Amino acid sequence: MATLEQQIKERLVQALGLKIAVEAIDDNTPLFVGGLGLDSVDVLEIAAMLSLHFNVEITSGDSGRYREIFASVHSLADFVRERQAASA
Amino acid sequence: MIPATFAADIVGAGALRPGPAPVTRPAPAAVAQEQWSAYRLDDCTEQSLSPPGQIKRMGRGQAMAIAAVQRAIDSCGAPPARGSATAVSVGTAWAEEGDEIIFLENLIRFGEKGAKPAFFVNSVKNALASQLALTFGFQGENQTFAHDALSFESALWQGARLLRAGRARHAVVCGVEALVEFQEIHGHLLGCYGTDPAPLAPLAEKKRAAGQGTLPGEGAAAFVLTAPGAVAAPLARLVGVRARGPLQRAPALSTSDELALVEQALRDANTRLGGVGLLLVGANGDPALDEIYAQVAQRLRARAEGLAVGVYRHLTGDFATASALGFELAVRAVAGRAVPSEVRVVGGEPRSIERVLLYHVSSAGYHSAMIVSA
Amino acid sequence: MSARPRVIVTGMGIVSAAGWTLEETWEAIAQGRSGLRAISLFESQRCAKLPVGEVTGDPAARSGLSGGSRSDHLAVWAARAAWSDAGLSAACFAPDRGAVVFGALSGGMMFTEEFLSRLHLDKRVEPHNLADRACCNSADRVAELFGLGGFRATVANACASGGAALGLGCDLIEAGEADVVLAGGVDSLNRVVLNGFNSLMLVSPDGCRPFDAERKGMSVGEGAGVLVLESEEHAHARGARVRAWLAGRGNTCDAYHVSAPQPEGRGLHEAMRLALADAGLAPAAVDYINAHGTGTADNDPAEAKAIRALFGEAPPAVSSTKRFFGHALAAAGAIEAIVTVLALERQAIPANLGLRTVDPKISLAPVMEYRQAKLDVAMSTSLGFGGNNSAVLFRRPGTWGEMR
Repeated sequence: MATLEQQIKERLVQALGLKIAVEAIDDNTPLFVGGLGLDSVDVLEIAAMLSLHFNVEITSGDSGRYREIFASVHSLADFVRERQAASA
Repeated sequence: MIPATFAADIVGAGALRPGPAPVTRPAPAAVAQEQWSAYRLDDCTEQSLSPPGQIKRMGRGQAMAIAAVQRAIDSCGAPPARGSATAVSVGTAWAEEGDEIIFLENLIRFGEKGAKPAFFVNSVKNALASQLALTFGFQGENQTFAHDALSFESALWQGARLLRAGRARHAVVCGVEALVEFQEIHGHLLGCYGTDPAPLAPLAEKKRAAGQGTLPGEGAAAFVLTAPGAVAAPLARLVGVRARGPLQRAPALSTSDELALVEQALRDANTRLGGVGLLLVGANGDPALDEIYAQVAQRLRARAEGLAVGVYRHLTGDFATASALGFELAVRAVAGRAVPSEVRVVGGEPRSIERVLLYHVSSAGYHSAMIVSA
Repeated sequence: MSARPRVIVTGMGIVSAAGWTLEETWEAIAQGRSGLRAISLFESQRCAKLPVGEVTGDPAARSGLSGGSRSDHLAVWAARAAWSDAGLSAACFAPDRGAVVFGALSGGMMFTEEFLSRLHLDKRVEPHNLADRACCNSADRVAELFGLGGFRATVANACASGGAALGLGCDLIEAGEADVVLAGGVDSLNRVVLNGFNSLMLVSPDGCRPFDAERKGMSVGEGAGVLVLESEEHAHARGARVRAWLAGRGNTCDAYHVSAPQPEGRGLHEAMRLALADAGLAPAAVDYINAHGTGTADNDPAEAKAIRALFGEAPPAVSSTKRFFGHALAAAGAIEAIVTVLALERQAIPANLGLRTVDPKISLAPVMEYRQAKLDVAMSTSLGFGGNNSAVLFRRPGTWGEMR
């Protein structure tokens, strides 16, 4: 079974239609500036993807941590794990 | 040059056309046939059309528009400047509808949780014009015209209008349509298209069977316009655009009404029919529509012996803004003083082309005449 | 520059969540009554409680149009009202000299939604409404109704469409291509736009509060606004009443981002500057700005900065009227232009309804209470996704010299 990081990468490429191979995305590649070049609308697209496929909601309470949460695939995976543990 | 009350110089032109023949594929369950055919930009997905280095997804219409505009700019001697002196005018009946359908389908499949924000943003119809502004840095007046077969003509009119009013130094005008599965379904269900997979043969001897309609297509063409005289050697000069919609739904088309439009366009442009070398028409192989085109062409040829008649939708398929691709061929004809080899001449003997008259009419009754001059 | 024909507004027609007529709309404004409420047009789980600007009553029953989309019905209602308000008849213009320019976005989106739902869920194919889903249909229906056989266009500039349509109407008259133009905008609520904006986290759960420190976003709305534009010569010749002069307009594109405005509002600044230059007026001449003011985090500060940059330390009175009827998308620019003309006629400024405390980061003091004021010149602004900006400037009759 693929790691959470791997699943997130696949969903990311699929949800955003990125013109890049899943393998080319490193766990720590910056998603935004300096890396994949995603923007504020893509943040919301990723949030929708997390909600739909990982059952994890980003709430307004998280708004202070956006940069942290969305920094990389690795940070997204950590966030998902954190939320899934909290609801377990 | 014949003076005109309405003019703009065309200093750059570029087009993306589909493959030379329609592509036939299995049809979805929604339509009542096993296979369907369309003129497609073969192997040109948004991925391959996107500017190099672009990782983020771009809508197909956006990619096509950018590619066409880039070609038009590349063909310019002096490209239009970034900033507010360059206006953008896009004609597209459906814009990035593919993304709107993806948004809606996800909403239906997954419920409201499935709403995809990036696809909503892209589905707003000015997504092509604003992407052009973003990509090329054009900050002048920016308009998207989305009115079926009047869309490109309105965009062209507005570009010329702006330049004459001194509100821009360059106008980038684009007509574009990206074929979307839902559009094809829509067209089939409404009887616009049929099951005959053969390439279109507008105004040909051998006609499509009655009820076969035409075939869908896609493409993009872009033009860089300046005020008349701004540049020493433009490709061509636009001297008139006249585009009108019907005054009732599903009107009965009449040859005399069509001729009246063409004659008025010639008068507006201060142009005699005798000076026109090529009548380029948007006949699309639909037997009923071909008949109107044939009558109009015949009547015009009877008045001007030197007039050759050409068709081009066998290259593009049928779509609301295909007239933009016709326009690109007309510009090339005037620039090269000869009919481009892709145009199929169906009447008359083309001589040196100084003026091209484009004439279009659709089944819904939208019609237009555009005149391009050396 | 002054040889070109001057453009007059001779009639107006409106429908929105604030009412079905000019009178109803202004009454709601004067009384500070918001037309926002929970959506009843269709079922929704996520959007069920979001205040929206839904038109009350049944547009299909009231428009007199048989068949067509909700947008078509709203557009025809407003067009009929504008036509009647202008005292027009077919005798007033040759068919080829009557034009229509409408801003539109959704068109018959609900028909697309219904078709795809049935296809996916029931595997049933029911195409009977597909022909009515295009956004250009509303302009076509109005053209057919009034014999407007001249120039016809649907402008799709997102939320700046209405304003852009008015500018294009001016272009037609100045170019001598039309004697009468029905210019405006129309839009209607549907699942795509409501869920679309909601998925962008742009929609407020307690109704829009433009420029407010606690604002949480926009309220999606619907409606139609139609203005009849004529050259002063044509209006004068037929004895038409002048509602206002459309004295200037500006249209620009930020070329900054697909959905966020340039943070300094530079594109809007330039659009407003162009409108003033077009009218031959200095910024100090403007008495009131009806702002786009959607109540989102990004729009309001950008707009405020543009206003401050252009108008300086003492800008004109400003208010956003979006809490009265929501953000009517492609219709917004037209509906709000009508409100702006009404403000000039009534010599009163609508309140920036919903505002309690101005965001300290916004250096504007929008008008908090409806009040009488001497107004000669007023401006309506619109910003849209993709960076489209529009500014339209009106002058009260009697303030621009004699009729020529």
